[in-house]
Amino acid sequence: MSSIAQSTQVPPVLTKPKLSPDDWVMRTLIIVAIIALFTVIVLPLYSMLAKSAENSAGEFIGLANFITYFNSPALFKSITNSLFVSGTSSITVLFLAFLYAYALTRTCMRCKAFFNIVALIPLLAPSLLSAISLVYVFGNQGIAKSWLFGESIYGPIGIIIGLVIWVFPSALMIIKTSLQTTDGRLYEAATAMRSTPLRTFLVVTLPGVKYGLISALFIVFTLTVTDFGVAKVIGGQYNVLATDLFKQVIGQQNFQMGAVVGIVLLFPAVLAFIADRYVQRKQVSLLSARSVPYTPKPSTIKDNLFFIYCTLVSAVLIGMLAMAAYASFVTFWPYDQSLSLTNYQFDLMDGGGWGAFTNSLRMALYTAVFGTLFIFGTAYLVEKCRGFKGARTIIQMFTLLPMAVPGMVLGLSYIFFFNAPNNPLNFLYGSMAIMVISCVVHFYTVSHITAVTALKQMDPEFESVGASLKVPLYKTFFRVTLPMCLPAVLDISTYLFTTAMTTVSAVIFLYSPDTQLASVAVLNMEGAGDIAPAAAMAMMIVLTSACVRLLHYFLTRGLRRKHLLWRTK
Amino acid sequence: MVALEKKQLEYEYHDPKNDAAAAIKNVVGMGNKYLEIIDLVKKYDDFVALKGISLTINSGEFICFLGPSGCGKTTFLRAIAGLDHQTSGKLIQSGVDVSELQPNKRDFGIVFQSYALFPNLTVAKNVAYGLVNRKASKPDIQQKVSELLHTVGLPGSESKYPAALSGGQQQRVALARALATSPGLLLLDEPLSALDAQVRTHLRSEIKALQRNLEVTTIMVTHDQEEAMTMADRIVVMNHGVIEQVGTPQEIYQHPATAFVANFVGTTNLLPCTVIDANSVEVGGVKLNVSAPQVLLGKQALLAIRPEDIGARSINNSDTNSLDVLINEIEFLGSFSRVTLTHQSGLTLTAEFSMNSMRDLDITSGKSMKVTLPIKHIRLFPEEPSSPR
Repeated sequence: MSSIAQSTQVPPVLTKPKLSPDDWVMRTLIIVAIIALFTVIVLPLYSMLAKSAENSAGEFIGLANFITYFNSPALFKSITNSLFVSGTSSITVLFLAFLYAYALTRTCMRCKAFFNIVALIPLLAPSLLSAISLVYVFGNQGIAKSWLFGESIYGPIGIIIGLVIWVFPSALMIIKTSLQTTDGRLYEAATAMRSTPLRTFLVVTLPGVKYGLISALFIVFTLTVTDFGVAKVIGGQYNVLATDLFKQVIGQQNFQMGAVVGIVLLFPAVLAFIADRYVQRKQVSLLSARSVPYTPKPSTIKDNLFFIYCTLVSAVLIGMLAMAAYASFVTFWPYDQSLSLTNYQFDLMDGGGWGAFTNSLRMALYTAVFGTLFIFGTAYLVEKCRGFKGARTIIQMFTLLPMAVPGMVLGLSYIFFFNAPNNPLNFLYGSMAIMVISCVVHFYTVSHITAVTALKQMDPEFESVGASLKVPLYKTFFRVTLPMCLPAVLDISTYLFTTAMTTVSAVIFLYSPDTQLASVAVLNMEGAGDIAPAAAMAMMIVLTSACVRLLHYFLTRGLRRKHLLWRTK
Repeated sequence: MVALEKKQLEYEYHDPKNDAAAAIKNVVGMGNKYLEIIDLVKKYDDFVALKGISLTINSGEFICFLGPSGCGKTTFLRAIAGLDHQTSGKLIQSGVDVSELQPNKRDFGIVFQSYALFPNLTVAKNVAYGLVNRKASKPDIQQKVSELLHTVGLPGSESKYPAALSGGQQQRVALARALATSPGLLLLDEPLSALDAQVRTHLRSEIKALQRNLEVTTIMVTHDQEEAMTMADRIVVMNHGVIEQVGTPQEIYQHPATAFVANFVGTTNLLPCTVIDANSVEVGGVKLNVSAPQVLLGKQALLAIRPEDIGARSINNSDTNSLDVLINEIEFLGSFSRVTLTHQSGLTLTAEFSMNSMRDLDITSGKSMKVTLPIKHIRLFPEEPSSPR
């Protein structure tokens, strides 16, 4: 008795668990990942910040560049222009996408599968494509120029229409998800309490999708305010921030002012990002395990009205693609309307020729392979490492950051960072690798979230069981974790491939004469007046993306059949 | 007579803090201790989940950690496994200090409430998961797997995927997988909670029989007292990160060490009272004869009596602690009924009478009757700062 009393008086010795080899490997890899992410995200952004406070001789001049910028009316006008076009197009697309998503999730309309696929068309192409099509339809030699009643498509009207088409699928996917995740019981309760349809809509439907709508708004706003392709093709004399950035850097080689514009462009994106994070944190899951999915009831008038609406929207989306496809085959618009493959002879034109296309394929492939490896691997480390909380938090911060950085700003910061003569990584500059890195970083956040979601869905005790049976972690990873996460891995790689294939903004500052890219070729050919070849190249991108998506579809379907055997419930 | 009663009470009323120490002494006497836990503390930021727990477990014993949710029982189990390391304290498993070892360096098999079967592997591959790593030959592994599946009552289901099995069958596979490597310690984390009531009762006795055959030291976490009562050799009742009592199911039920245990294991009438002297207390204006321990004299206390210990047959007015009560509600529960009784002082009691008594004594709602509270069934506990429930 007395001995026990004594032993409890001794201050307790804190036990520190001994680290196993697994722990050491994971911790080392986490530190490697932190260094890598720090090098490709934080350091470049810092060098851009530093550059904005320098004069052309490289001396520190404080905020002088910013003062010059805000005192130049032409440049300052771009800010209001940018806010105007992205504000208008964001609200428009939100409205259109909500109706479309509502039709897909809450009605018994026919042809839902078809409408679902059609809505994704703009994702297959660079944003330039919608603008090129608009030129063919409403441009100076367009087939429906008169529809504009004398207004010019070259300017805000064109930019807004082009942006709306381009970001439509992004808005649609978010809103659709939030409309799908509503508890059907709420509607049954509303019906039981004899609520009118309007009241149900206002009290049940809208609050349910509130956060989805806000989230969509922020994401669409960021996309539109930072997009460069549409404004470049159809903006005419109407300047926005993204085209200013391009002009300062490529046109005038004024890197300091470019850095200033880059930081100005970073502002709305970062603000939207912070606001979105804030809203997301407030969101609580409306679905519990006991929820039942909502099943719409047929209603002739409602279903038909929405069918007509979706047909109209689909017609525009298909029309956009068809117009560009048709124009790419027309020998010489508008004089020789015969169809030929003349415009596909890229080697006869500036812009890199077919080499640009194969370069794009290579870059997209590398981005998909290395990006998926790095992103999924890092997500696994963050989710499954025991302890080491600080380091994991740092990685989580780094993975969110790219979401807030526009592609052009990232590319510009890469110039400053990797082109610095004293940087040991200088050899990357002008290589394929730097573009792959830029693409992986630019599309990091979405991929990371996909990976984490898949990992979180698995029973957290799998690793505990493995440890109790003394099976090393890597075996459990390859035998259980990876097979279970294969659908997510496929999703990530497809996403990385198609976005790398279509992006302009992340690579526009980084390509070299040896590494011309298809998406950049579209831009350059269009800029040189070769608009039909530009359309042709854009069609090649669409074709490639569509093939990859199709491949993804079949692979996923095969996997899903296998997974049905595994599905617990 | 008085002296004798006092002695008895001293035995019955003891400080819960000394329980673990008593348990250790007891075990040391028997020798053969397998797992020794010394002053285990687990802190999360500013929340203390385990407040210095000590416990000794003998080899071959079936131990249940019983307590309400949030009492720290799962934390305790995970600390024993090394899945969540303790903040301080020692763990000695068959003579080896394992306090700082990672789970893969310890000797245990574990079964989770969620089964945690690998969905992409067949039953055979799940069971063989730990064997493959030991470089056993393929036929040997096959042999062992089919033996294990036979043991848990699932012969021939080697090639099925877990999703094709029912919850009870999945839990058997999880059990086979945990036993495959012949661990010295089997940990069961609420293994039956996710199952239907009937499957649960069935599996309960099977697990117990299996454990007795294999003589594997087993710790099971549960919040179901019936499960703990029927399966455990000893029950460890936990609350708020401390052990309230350690003992056999009978000890826990018949001699609860604290008001919490009395109320958590089975049901109890817990009545606030004032201890007048060594022989009497006052409960809501009624004076009852008890034998009160010295430490409680003149203090506020809790009087506990189990509903089934309230007497109703052949009572005389002269009997100690006899009360005239009004029969309020009667809850029919099959072989017995639960009856709410009210005394004129406002005192309310819950009693349980067999169907036999109900018939013989014609107990019906609205009638009056006479009951006794036998001294030997009355227990007194110090008033707890935070009352249980």
